[in-house]
Amino acid sequence: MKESVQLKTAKDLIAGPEEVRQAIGSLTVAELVKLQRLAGGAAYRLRRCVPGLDGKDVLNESVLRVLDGRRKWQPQRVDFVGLLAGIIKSIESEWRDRAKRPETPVLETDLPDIGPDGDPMPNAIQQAADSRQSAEQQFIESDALSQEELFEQIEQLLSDDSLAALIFSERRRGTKGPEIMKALDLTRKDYDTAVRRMDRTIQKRWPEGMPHVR
Amino acid sequence: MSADTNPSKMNLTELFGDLAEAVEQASPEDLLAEAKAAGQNTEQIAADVKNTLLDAVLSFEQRKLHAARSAYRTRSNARRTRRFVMPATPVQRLRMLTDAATRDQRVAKITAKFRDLTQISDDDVRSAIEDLMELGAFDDIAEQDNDGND
Repeated sequence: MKESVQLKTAKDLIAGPEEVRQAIGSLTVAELVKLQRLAGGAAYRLRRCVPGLDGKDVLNESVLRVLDGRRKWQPQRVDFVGLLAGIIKSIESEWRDRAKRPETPVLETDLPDIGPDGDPMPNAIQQAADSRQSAEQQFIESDALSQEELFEQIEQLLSDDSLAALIFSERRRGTKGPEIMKALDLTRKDYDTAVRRMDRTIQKRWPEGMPHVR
Repeated sequence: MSADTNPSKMNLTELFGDLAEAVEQASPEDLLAEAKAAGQNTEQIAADVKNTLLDAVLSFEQRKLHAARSAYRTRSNARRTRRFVMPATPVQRLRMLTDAATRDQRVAKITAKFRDLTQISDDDVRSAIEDLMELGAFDDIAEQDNDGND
């Protein structure tokens, strides 16, 4: 009997709401915590250019991209957490680039959310795309640090964590992660754990988002 | 030595990449253990994230429904506008309104606010007809007119 070959069409790769609901329903507590950490971290780093953004905005946009087909999903090849992790990374990169170029038109992909009364509501990225500088933004810019000043402050913050401080210092000098791991005889897990401690220290110091850099 | 005279070879975007990658590479179990060690309520975090994700699905479905409703409304308004023509003179407009009020209970309810239809201004008559057109009150007449014209 001839084996039938089933070709996946683009439509087959667009997950429907029920499929996505099932995937969400089967996430473990650990996976949900990971998603919160990924989305929260992205939102934190974006907050310098998209004020008011939080992890929920990023998670919402991630799911939207799966459902409207902007991101295709092959469940056999990529698990749902891996899919959302990839999308969160793209969102962070795209929104940061977009915020740097406020003249960029808002795309259909940034359609406003619908409010409870059915009226469109601008999302955070649309508000950020408004090129007019508010008095608050002008104040923030006037208060911005140079990148070197910021890095100096971060290095001081890490003074109680010798490994994280050493990794940060080496990264500033241009040493790549794998070289640092080799030189310090660290496993990937040791290295990432220290970088995540660095992350927590930074967020604790500037809970509203890192200072603006000139 | 000032920091500015010895610039880093790493920029802020690279630092952000490092921070993101350290979370991405971690196993969910390691992150769960870290969150617990930091005293976070992981059950609550998990419930919040799950609700946010499910709300996003619901919001997508509502947005689609809203878009479908808007498209339907636009199509039906366009159809009504095509089928129905406002009578040319004030007398014809008033007659249309009074005839419709006699014939259709829905129209009668709307025109009941005017004590005497013959005493209202042409602007009010026009406005009432336009509102009733929106509600489809003259669709039957338009159908008949169209049928007669075919």
